[in-house]
Amino acid sequence: MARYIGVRLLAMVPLLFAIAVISFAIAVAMEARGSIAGSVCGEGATIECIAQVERQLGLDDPMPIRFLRWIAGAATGDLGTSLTNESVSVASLIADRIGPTLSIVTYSLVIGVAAGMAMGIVSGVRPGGAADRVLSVVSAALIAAPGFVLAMLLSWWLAVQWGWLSPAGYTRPSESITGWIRSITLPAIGLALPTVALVQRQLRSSMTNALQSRYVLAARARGIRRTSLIAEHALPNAMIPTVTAIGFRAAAALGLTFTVEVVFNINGMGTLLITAIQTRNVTVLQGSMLVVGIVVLVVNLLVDISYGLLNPKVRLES
Amino acid sequence: MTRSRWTRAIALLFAFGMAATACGGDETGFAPAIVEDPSADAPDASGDDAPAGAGADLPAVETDDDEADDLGQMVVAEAANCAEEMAAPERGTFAPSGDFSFAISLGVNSLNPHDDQTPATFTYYSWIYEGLVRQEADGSVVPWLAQCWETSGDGSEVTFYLHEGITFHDGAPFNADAVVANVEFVKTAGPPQVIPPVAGQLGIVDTVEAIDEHTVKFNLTGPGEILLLSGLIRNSGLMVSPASLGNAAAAPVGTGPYEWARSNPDFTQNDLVANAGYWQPGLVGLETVRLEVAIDQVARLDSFNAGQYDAAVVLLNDLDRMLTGDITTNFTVRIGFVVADWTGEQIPQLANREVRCAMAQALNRQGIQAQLNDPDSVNNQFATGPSDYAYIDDLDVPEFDIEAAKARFAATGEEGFTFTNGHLPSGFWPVLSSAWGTALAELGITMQNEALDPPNGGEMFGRLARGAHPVQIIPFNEPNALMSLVARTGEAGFNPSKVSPDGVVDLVTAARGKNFDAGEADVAAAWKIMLEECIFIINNTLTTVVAYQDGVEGVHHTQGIPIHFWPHGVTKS
Amino acid sequence: MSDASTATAVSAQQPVRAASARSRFWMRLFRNPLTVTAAVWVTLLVLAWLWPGLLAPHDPYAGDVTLTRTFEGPSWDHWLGTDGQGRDLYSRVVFGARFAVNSILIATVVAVGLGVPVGLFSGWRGGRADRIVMWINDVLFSLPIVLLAMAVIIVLEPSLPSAMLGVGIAMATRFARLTRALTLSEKEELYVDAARITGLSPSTILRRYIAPNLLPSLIVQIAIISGAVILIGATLSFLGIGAKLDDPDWGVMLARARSDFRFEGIWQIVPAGGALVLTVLAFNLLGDGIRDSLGRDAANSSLTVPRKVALPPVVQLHASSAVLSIRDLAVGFPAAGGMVNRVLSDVSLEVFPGETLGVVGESGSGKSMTMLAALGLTPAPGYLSQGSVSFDGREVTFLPEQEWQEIRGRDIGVIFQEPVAALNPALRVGRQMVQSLLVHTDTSRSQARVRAAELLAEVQVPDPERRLDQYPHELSGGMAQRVGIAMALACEPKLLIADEPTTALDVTVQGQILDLLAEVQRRHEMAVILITHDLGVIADAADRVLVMYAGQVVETAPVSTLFSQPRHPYTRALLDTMPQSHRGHGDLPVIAGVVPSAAAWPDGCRFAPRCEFATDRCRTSVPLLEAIGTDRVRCVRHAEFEFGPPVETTA
Repeated sequence: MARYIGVRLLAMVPLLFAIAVISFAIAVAMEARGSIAGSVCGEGATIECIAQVERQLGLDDPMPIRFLRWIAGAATGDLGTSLTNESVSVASLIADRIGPTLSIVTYSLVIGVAAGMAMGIVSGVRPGGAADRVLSVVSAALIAAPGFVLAMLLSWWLAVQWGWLSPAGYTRPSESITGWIRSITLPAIGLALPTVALVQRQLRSSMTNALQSRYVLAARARGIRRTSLIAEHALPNAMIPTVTAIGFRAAAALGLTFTVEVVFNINGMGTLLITAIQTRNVTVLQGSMLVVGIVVLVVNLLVDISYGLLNPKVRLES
Repeated sequence: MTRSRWTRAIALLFAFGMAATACGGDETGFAPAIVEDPSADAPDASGDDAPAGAGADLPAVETDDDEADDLGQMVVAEAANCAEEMAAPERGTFAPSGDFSFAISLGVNSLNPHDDQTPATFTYYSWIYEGLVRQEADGSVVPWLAQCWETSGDGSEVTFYLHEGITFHDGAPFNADAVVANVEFVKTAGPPQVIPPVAGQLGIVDTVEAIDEHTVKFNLTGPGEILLLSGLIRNSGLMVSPASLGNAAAAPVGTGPYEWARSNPDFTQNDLVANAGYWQPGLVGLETVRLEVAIDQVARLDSFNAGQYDAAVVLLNDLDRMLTGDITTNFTVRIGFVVADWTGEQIPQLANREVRCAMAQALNRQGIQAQLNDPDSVNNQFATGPSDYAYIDDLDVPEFDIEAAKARFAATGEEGFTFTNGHLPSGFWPVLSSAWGTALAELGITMQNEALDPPNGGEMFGRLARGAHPVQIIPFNEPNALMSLVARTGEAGFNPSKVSPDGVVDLVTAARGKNFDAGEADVAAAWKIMLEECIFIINNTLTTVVAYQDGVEGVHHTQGIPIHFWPHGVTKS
Repeated sequence: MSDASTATAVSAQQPVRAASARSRFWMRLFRNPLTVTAAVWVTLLVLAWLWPGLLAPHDPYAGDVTLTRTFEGPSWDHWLGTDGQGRDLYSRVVFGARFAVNSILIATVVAVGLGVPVGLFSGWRGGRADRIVMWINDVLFSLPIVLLAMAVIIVLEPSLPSAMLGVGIAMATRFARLTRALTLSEKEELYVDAARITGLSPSTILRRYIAPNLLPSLIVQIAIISGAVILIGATLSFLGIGAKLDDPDWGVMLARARSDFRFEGIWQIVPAGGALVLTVLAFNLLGDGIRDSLGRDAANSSLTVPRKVALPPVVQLHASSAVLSIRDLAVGFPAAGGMVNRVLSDVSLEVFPGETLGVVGESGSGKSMTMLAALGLTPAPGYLSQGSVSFDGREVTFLPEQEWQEIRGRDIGVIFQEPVAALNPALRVGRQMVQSLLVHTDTSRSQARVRAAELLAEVQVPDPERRLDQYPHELSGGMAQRVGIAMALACEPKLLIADEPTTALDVTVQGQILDLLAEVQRRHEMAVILITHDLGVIADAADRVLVMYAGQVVETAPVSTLFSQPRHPYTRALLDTMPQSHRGHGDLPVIAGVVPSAAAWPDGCRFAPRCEFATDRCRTSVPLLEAIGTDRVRCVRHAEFEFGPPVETTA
């Protein structure tokens, strides 16, 4: 297993590099579209101002040198400073923003996977049954309904009308644990609903396959109880493809947090990215793209590892 | 002295907040007490011998005689006694208690007020920083960190006499050198921290010098006391500790009632604590203050409704719905707002054609009209198509004669007032403000800028017009709404061919609230008159509204505009 | 065969395949009402995209000038009410189709335009180029779509088309993967291979042979991503970085409705929200429907549900000393058009204590199905349509699953063919064995483990302790089979059903296993049903033999009788295939043809088409199982035959 993880970690290195190149390229493209210095200096900026800013930011160096400098800095945790306030380091901005985003994404995955698995098992155990039909309609609706619409309806009833949860804002866990949970529950649910549907669909299908498999038949022929057939025999095997699906969904959820972050007024990575785009804050932009990319990579790694844990063939052969 | 002259003198007084004459015993006359301050009527330490003296002594009569009619000169004549020392005003008897949270609609790049000049962000800075002068809820400008000021005879030099014994949060003394450092920073600091337009707020200042420890003199590029004061009441006029100036990494340090404690790296959440050594201790009513950026308006309103914030910036249309709709509210809204409407009802001054046309002319002069009309312009954030600004395209007032306008303006009997302009796209408004400011200054009018959350177009107007709210608003980018108003006017019997241009305003006012389908010809004719009358340029406004939870008391800015926002005396029970 | 004729054969073969597939496709597609509904909705969407003016009665941009008719509910004038500017919501929803379809078009064109050529190139070229291209593809694939869309927005400008360009690029990775996989498999197809030999250029081959086969999969994929594209577009518009503020885009409308509905009622959300949800749903259903109609992965479909068939209650009691007794068993499977395929009919058998019943027949003759049905394990959606089963004198035909659980594994042991597949790949061998022991015996977990090791030792598994900690994939076929046998024998069952117990093993091991089974059988008076198509094994181990063909019993007889005097032509044909009968000389004789599938069974004798003795009578009259003493045979002409034992043939 250690070797398996080691191989995966090594495979991450070129991916990491690719993500760094993409982040950098996007920033360069943004720069090509409108001068960064111009956006710093404002409208009617003088040539002197632009020249000074370009010197300060090292924009006049050749591209490979700039990339190497940036990546070397990134390797030591230095992602430069924000263009809108040079006393603020990009790393500290990201450190401040990543907590809410990871809280929401993780929480949403917990909710989504738990609910999706429950639904998927019920559906997969008796495909075509009444419960399966109801759940399939529910999950088809959840896939079709945009998360932001569900989020805004939920926030209206659960938070504004009934006051169960906090309608917006983010409370740090260091300030109040219950406040933290109250503040991230709604955005997490908003983000989790499509996850529920996707996990349900995947698990239903792989559960159905697993239950039709020869080893389950063999287990039945040995008199193994139904609950054990489902939980011990079919589920671990059905989880293997499901974990891959969950991994994709985790990456997608990271990309989609900005919708719930905007709707629920949470200052996380998503809103940081949007603000950086709006203010053409190139350093913040490339830094946060890189970090989001790394988080996606880590998620993929975790998926690979849990894939290995679930699938003894992968675990033992590598 | 005739009654009308008195009237004019008082109007002048209020319009410009001409407190320049108010040093010495006259302060109360020029610096109206904080409206909700329980101790507002307490006598000043220096005595209250002649509360109306300044008004009585106002040289309105003399000014009237002076055909040159230069406001600067008018002020100078009365500013001579400023040098008499005054003790600091003692107002308020609060003890710091309670945690206060405030949801704001805009983010800032730093807590350095010299970093930006958006009026809405004054809300952040005014907790920490103060200026030499400040604007009161009624629009008047009063001395604050300065005891008083005086203006030279030609209006090009303004001298401020500072209070003694005031220190910044970091212990540094507030003195003439600090003022010089701040003004010079605003004037000279380069990018990237400070964008050039910031200097524009103090653009009238040529040089600034410390005469002595507590006296500082501004040398202006020309007669322009009004422009100087209008700059000093904004972000650029706030005083930052010299050690923090230009040092973006340093803590935000001012002289204000609350000290900065901590912020997020991007200032989306800022915690302040009561300044134990505030020079007016009785005005510090809270123990801690949290300023939080909550950009999404619906979420902000929801949070406020849920009691998450003690106060929140809300949008007018939401507020309107909260007040008129079925939604239950558990809070008191204490608002007021300045709305410029071209019917002249809310801002009477705008009924004046010369004012409107001066502003229109300024638009032409700056080539702004063309930009506004260009849907691809970066300044045109709201353009949804070329037709939106068709009415501006038709405008042609290049022959506007400022001298004639001045004469006509004088003939109306009004000699100056403060004009609040409305919202324009943020990257754009400094240019526009300066254009309008210049144009209006030529007429002797002070302009103050006001920000507006993204306008919600005709629907806001529509519900207001239906009588849901007693204010008329015509968003700048909603020609439909404007047309609608014209159409209503038609039903009331509006026949453009029979009505003199001057009558438009009255007709519109009279016709309000009635609906009908105007014929196209009527609408076209109405348009013509509106263009001739420069009616279109008045993008009125409002503005930010702040809603407060029950139990939050002492917020004095009944005008509810960020630029008036002074945290003095805010308490929470 | 010349190159030219090969090429002709190739091009002739393909359209035929496509044509029949096509008609079947449409039939299937339109049979599903949900798919039809979805197709109608999508058609409406396209109409609204082409001529919105025809469908929408009002200008979507122009509001009520007097602003008196705002926030209305549905009415005759405004079918879906009005918004805050008095604009007709129905018209805005209709015009919103433009943004939705434009989004799909841009994203699809980009995704297909980029992804398909890349996938074709990668799949066709293979090797290093393939690895590099796919690696880059996978990097992009692993990034969130929305991030890529935002990246393009950054580079271009915030607008719906540029966002969709980004979505298209992200989706292109999916198309590249799909195309590559399909190209790889198509490349191996015979006709493509043949075309390659004829010297057609790769581009011609790609265009003429591979591209047409890709098309159905691409259409499915496009339908599926269309829903996602619309959702992403609406999300971006909702956040103000997609369509413009005034546009009748569904996302923009929802952004407005978000604050409006609190004050003006929930209806404000309904028109745009409904249009959005229904459209995404329609595309998803259409995608599912097309995919199902193409006959792939039907189990995955969310809303298609197999018809449930009720079990006809046929119960018949019988008393006998047999351990297992099956009478007139029939198993049906629901088939197209409400028909039922009876995969088993009139199957009867009995097996007595200490006896070994051999069941022979080719693959597909129903041997395994009989045993599963007897165990109450008929695989869904199949069902017992007739007959009865009794075990140990007890009627078990409709035994509740709980009671069956008691019997299976304890009183009946089963050895499955494909021994590795019968073991759960995710669980250690020991755990699977312990689990079975715990279910049926009153032991502790550790005792069960000791017993499991003993059982393995009994079936001659070396180093049993270590084996317990291994996973099935670590075992050889022979080892896995021994594990299977050990589990089947764990509780000393009264009946052992051994389905091809020795196929995975080499000859010496086969012998050992059979000896082992015989030994156990002797010790416990165990009845054994030995299913195999290896007549040699039957000859060695069985007492009686049952021959099955096409879901029916065709002959039963004691083993000696059967080998010396087969009565049924099928038995005879089987015996001829025995390797012993023609040792080392010429080709192994095989029975010409294959067992037909249940749907294609002939009306008369099912073996008739393959029977060298068949006459017209065989093809019309249905043979019954006739008794000859204790033996049975199902052949209308059996009296005419006198087959001897299999002859040694020479080539």
